[in-house]
Amino acid sequence: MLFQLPMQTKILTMGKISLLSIALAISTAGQTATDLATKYHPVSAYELRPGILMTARYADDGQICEAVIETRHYHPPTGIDLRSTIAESTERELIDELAPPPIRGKETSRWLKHSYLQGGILHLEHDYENVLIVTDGDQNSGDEILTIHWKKRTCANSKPTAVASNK
Amino acid sequence: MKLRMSVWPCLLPVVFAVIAVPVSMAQSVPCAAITRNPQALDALLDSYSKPTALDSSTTLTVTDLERLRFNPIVIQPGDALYVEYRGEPFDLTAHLANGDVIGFDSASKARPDQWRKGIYPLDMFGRNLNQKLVGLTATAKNPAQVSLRNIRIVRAGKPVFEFVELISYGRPEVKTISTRRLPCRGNDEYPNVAVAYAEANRFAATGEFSTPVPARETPGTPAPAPLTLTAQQINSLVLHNAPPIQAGDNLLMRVNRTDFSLEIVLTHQKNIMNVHPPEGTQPKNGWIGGRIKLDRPGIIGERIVGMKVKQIAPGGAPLLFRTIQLEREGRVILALASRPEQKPENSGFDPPMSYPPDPMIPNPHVANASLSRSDLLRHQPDTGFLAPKLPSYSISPMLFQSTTSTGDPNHYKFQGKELDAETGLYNFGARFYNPALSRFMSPDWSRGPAPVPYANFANPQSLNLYSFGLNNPMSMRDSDGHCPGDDCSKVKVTVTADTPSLLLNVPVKKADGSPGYVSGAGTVTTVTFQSNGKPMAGVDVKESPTTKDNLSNSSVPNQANPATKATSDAGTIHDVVMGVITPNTSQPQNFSTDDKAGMTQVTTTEPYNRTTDQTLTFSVNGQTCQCTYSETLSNANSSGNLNKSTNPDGTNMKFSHTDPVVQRVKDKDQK
Repeated sequence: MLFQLPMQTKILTMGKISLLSIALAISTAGQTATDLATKYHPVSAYELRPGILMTARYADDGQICEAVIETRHYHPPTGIDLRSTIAESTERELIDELAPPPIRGKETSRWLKHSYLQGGILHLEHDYENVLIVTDGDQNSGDEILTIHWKKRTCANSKPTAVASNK
Repeated sequence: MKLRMSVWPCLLPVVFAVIAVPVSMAQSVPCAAITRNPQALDALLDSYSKPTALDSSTTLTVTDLERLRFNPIVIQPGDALYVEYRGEPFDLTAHLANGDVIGFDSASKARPDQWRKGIYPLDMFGRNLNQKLVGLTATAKNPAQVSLRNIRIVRAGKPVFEFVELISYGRPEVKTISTRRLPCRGNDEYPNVAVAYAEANRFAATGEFSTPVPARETPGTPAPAPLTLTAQQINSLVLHNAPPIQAGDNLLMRVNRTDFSLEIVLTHQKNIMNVHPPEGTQPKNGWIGGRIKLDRPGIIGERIVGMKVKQIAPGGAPLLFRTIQLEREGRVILALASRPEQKPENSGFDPPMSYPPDPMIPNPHVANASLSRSDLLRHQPDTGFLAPKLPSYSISPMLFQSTTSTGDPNHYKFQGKELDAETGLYNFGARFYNPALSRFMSPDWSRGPAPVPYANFANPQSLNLYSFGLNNPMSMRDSDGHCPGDDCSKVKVTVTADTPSLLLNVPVKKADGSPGYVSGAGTVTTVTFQSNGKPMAGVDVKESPTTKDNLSNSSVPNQANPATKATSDAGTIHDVVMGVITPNTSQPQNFSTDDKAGMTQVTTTEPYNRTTDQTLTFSVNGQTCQCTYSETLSNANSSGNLNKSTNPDGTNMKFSHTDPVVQRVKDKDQK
C-alpha cells in the first residue's frame, strides 16, 4: 500500500511503457539475415575445425574459387585468443581436404615464385597446376593466414554466390 | 540602601579586573602555556589557518602543486611543512636538491567537507639539515579531488614562506608572509611548531621540563685521547650533526686558560654569549673543566653549529680546548672527535635572484647583510620581487644541484652531465648550463644560419634561446645543449645493406609458432640509430612497414603488422629483405651446388620489384620519434624487364633505399 501509485501516475506510466515498447519494436526491425544481407556485404563462412574459419568465395557456377582460412579469435564462453596460429599438421589436412592432390594437380616448380620476406611479412606462394596456395605470415610471431585460389575459376564479382550458412 | 550604594565603589576594581584581564591575557600568557598544551596549540594553529581573502586564489590542486616554482629553501633544524588539505587522502613528497625525497605519511584524514592541517617535519632529525627543498609533489587516487592551500614552510614558529599558484607565464608568485608573533610572552621559546608539538606532547605525558640533572660519570668504554684544538680551530668549527638542544643539556669542555670569552653559535642566529670561567678559577694540571648550561630560554630545539672564542690577554700559552662534549641527562651524547675543516669563505650556494630569498642564506649582494633575521624577513618581499621579469624556476631537483652541497665524488649529475666544480656550471656540450639560474649561459646556436635556431612557432617556448628543455625540464631532456626539447632532431638513422645475394636458411616462425627456415635472394639491412654520434642501445623500435608490389602496383598485406625490436649495443636493428625461393621448413636445409644454381636462376627469370615504406617509431628521452624511409628490392624494372647485370654470386637482385628522415611525433599538448 505504501508504494501504490496514484491513478494518474499509473496512466502516465502505462503510456510511457507503450511508447517504449513501440520504440523497441522499431529499433529491432531489420535484424533478419535477409535484412542484414541487404545492408551489409554477406560472406560465406565455415568452421573447418574448432576455432578455424574459412571464408569462401564462389565462381558463377557455384564452385568455390577462393578460400581464406584463418583462426577464430572469439571463443565463447572460454574467452578470446588473438593469436592466428594454425598447427602445421592441421594446415596440411585442410589443404588436402579442400584441394585434394587430384584437384590441385602437380606443383609447377620445385622453387617458390613471387614469394618474399619483406617488411616483416613472409609471403609464400605454392603454385600447383590448378590452385595457388598462399600463406601470409608474420616473420616473428608466426601468425598466419592461409589462402587457396582455384586458378581456373573466376570469382563472381568478388561477391559470394551463397549466403552465409549460419542461419 | 545606603549600604548598597557604598559597596559598588568597592566592587568596581573587581568588575574592571574581570573585564580587563581577558584583554591583556593574550600578551601576558606565557607561550609555554600554549605550546606545551596540545589543545591550545591546535587552537593557535587554527588561528593561523583562518580563511583569508586570498584563499580562493591560493587553493591548489595536486597538478598545481607540481607547477610550483620556487628557489631552493635551505632546510633548517626543525623546519616543517605546513599544508591545509581537503578532499581525499593523498601522499605528499618533498624533493631535495640532492635528489632525495621526503615521503610524508598519507594525509588519510582528508575529508571532502572540511579543511584539515598537516605539519610535516622537513629536517628529518637532522638528516636533511641544510639540504635544499626544491619541489613538492603529491599523489592521490583522484588528484582532482584533492585541494591544498596555505602551503607554508614553518620556521621558528612562524611561517616564512607560502607557496601559491604560478599565476602567469614566467612569473612565479611566491608570497612571503609577514612575521607573525605568537599572542603570548616569550614567543621565541619554541623555535617552531613541530618542536612545540613534540615538546607539548612530551610535557603532557611526563610533566617534566627543564629539570636539572646532576652530572655523573659516563659509564662505558674509556674516552679516546682528547682532541686538542686551538682557538683558531674552534672558530672554524662547523658542527653539522649536533642534535637539538633539550632540557638539561650541557656543553662540556676543558681549556688551558681562563681569560677568554666564548660564544656558542646556534641556529636561527641565536647565540649563547660571553661565557666566562668563574673568576679566580685556576687550571689544575694545566687544564680546567667547564660545564655550560645550554638549557636556556629560547634555545630549546636549536642546534649548536659553531663556537667563537677570543683570548682576552695577549701572550702566554696559546688558548687550547679539548674534550668538547654535549651532555644530556648526565650522559655524553656527542663528543668532538675529528678535526674540523676550515669554513669555506662562500657557503657554496649564492642565490642570484631569489623568489623570495631564504633569510638563512647569506647573500653577499646585500650590503646590510648583518641585518637581524627579523629584519631580513621584513625586507624579504622587496628583495624577492626586485627582478620581476625573470623567467620561472623549475622544481626539478637536480637543476639546482650546487657544487658544494655534497661531497659526492660523482660529478655527473643533472641529466648525466658533468658539473664543473670550479664554475658551478653543467657542461652540456654545445653550451654550459647554470643550475642556479636554471638557464644556459649562452644562447642556442645551430650549424646552419637561422634567425632563431630550432624555433618552433607552435611552441613559443622554443623562442627562448636560454631556457632548458622548452622551459619544461620535468618532461624534457637535453642531451647536447642544442635545440631544447627536440631530441629527435639529434638522432641520426642510417640504413646499410650488403650487396644482395643468396640468403640460406633465414629463420622465421612457422604457422604454429615453431621455428622455420626459408631461403632466397636478397640482403639484410642494418639500421643504425645514433644520437650525437653515440649508438642508441636498448631502444625499442616499432616497425610499421607497408610493402607494395611495383609490378602489379598493388599493396601487399603487411601493413598493420608492427613488430618491436630492441637496438643492439651498437644501436642497430636488422631486417631481412629477400625474395623467398624455398618453402618454409622445420629444419635448416643443406643446399647443393645445383640447388643454389637453381635458386639463382629463379632470380634471373622471375621478375621481382617490391618497395617497403618503413616507419620506425622509437622514443628518445621520453619523446616519440619516427624515422621513415623506403627500401626497394628488385631484379626488374616496373615494367617487368629483368636486370641484366648480376651480382658476384650470379643473382641479379638490387637493393636501394631512400635516406631516412627522423621527425618528432608531436605530443598531444603540442598539437
